[in-house]
Amino acid sequence: MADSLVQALQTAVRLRLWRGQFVAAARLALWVSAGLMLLAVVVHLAARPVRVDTVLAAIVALWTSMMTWAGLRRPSDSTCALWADRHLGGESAFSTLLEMREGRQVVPNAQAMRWLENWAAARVSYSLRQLGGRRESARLSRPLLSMLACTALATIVLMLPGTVPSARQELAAPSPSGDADRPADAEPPASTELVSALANALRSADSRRATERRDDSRAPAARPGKSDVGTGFRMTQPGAAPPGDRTTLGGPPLGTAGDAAPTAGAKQTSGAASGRDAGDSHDDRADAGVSRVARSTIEVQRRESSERRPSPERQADMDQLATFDDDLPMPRTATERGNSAPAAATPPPATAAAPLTPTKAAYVQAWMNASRQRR
Amino acid sequence: MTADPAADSAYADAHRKLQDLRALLDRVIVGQGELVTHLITAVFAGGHVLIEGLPGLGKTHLAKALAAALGLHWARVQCTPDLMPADVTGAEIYATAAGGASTFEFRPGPVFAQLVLVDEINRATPRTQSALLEAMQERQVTHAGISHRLPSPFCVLATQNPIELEGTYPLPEAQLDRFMFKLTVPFPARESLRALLDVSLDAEPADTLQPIAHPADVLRITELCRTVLLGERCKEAAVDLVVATQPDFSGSNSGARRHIRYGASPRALQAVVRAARVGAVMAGRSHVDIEDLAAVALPVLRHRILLRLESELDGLDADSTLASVIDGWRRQY
Repeated sequence: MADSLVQALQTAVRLRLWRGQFVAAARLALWVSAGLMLLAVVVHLAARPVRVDTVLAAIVALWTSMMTWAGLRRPSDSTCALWADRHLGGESAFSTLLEMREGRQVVPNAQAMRWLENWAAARVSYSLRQLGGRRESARLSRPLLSMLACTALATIVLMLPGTVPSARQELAAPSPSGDADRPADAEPPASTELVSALANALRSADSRRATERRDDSRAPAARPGKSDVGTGFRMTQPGAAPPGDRTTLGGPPLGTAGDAAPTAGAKQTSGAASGRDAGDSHDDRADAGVSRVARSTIEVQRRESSERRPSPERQADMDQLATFDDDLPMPRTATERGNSAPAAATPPPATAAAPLTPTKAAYVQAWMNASRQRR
Repeated sequence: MTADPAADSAYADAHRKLQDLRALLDRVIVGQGELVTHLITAVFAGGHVLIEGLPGLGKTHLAKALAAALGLHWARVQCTPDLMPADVTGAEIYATAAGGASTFEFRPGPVFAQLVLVDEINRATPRTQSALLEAMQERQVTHAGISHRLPSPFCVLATQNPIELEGTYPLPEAQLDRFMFKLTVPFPARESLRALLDVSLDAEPADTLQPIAHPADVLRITELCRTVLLGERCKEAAVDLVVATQPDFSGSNSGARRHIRYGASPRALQAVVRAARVGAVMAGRSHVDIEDLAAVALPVLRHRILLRLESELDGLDADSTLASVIDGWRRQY
């Protein structure tokens, strides 16, 4: 009678402990599964693509091992008795009874043993009630939520295309710092379009200004005060002016190595001296007095104005043809490429896109590099 | 909860007797339930008790009531500095027999009572204390080469006053170890004081107390308590409890390492288990539980440890230190 009662309690406690082991194993498996999915996401994004079925196989293996581990760990009789003593009000009776029955201790008094058996049997019903009323939280909510969140993240990352590193590299745009070192043939499409647009704009502007230039050179006498801006600078831009069509009003060419480029002072002088363009631009009005110096002093004046040239950007004049000094050292990239095309001012907006020859494309590239270096 | 399927069992009888005794003493000693329980435990465990408390808290009254309830022959020794060992153990006197023959005859001292109340034991000289404590340990008195067995049951209840320590001889640690329990008598609660007026205002209730047991019952229950089963878990717990008080032991408590200079002795381990067995019988069991060990841990250990001087200067005492040690030990089981 007493034995059967105690055995019933042992069985109930064993089931309870076994279930607790399964819950603990499931909790651990949930956490580890969430970690596995996060790991898969990280590997997928950073190192190499991870297949979904690989992750699923790992998780299935994990759960199988955990459940097997929990199932194999059958709570022993002593564990059940000790648990009943500690949590079900056994007051050490069940564990002591088990020890005495298994012969681990010599029973000093048979009467004490009988009393213990009776006491334990009378205690079983109370312990079973305690066991039935015991509600312990499985504490699965947090690991379950974590696993669900990680599952959603892993599903999104692993299933969506273009998230593997190779796909991202193909779609990645080139960095601006690599433009100078990259050959013209390897230019990305967007850069090629820009170069084409710039070249078209330059061509249209060159042709228009060359026409104006020719018109000006045909009637020098009609404008005695015409600027001698071209006297010190040879026109090197092809098509802009023919080699013999210089607008020299007297004296040798004044361009030296020190006159690096058409200066703002020189341009303003020419504009003011000609009288035609005086006041047409903002720069002319600002420095009108310089343009009225005598011709013999033009060289000195030019040098002075060159010396106080504030910055190369002020040389640019949207209304003037670009004039270059041959002695002026060109930016390194352009000279190396053997391109003698003159630099242009800020071009107007491109109107049409047309493919360029490699030479022209190289020119535009050189221009862009030079502009960038000046900035 | 107690099972009583075999009402004629010795355990059931012992349990009933102990419960009755406690109930009786609770009626006489008002508001000192824990003190009464520990006192009964020590008596049936075969130990001696050192009771510490302020004057007027009923220490003598408690001893008289216990002796009366158990039908024990009791004696009282009021210790003073001029008390001699022979005054406690007895002495030989020159006597003349009826036939005219003269001889030295041993006259037993008060220690030969079954329950000895040694009042203010710390006022006796160390020599007298040693004589008394030797009798407590050996349960015999040797005089002139002749050993005289002390009666059984034999229990010493010694009291000492925690104040007015001038002119006293504090018991050395080795002699304190002979006492199974050291009990402190707390000041009663207000309700207890009120009830005291109804119980003992005009009469001494111990004088009129009818015994509910006899010395033979005490011996029988004492023997029965030695058969109480002790599981492995409880054995481990008892050992861990004593180890927890050792400052230089690997399994000791952190509080013990910090505050205790000397821990409890192996005799303390025996005392804990013996007292826990009585507690188990008192609870109607024939096996010891951890709770039985925990219930007697403090009175068994409090006089067996020595605190560090720094801890004493910080205001710590043995009880507060042991409370943390026992609490930490209890959480393990």
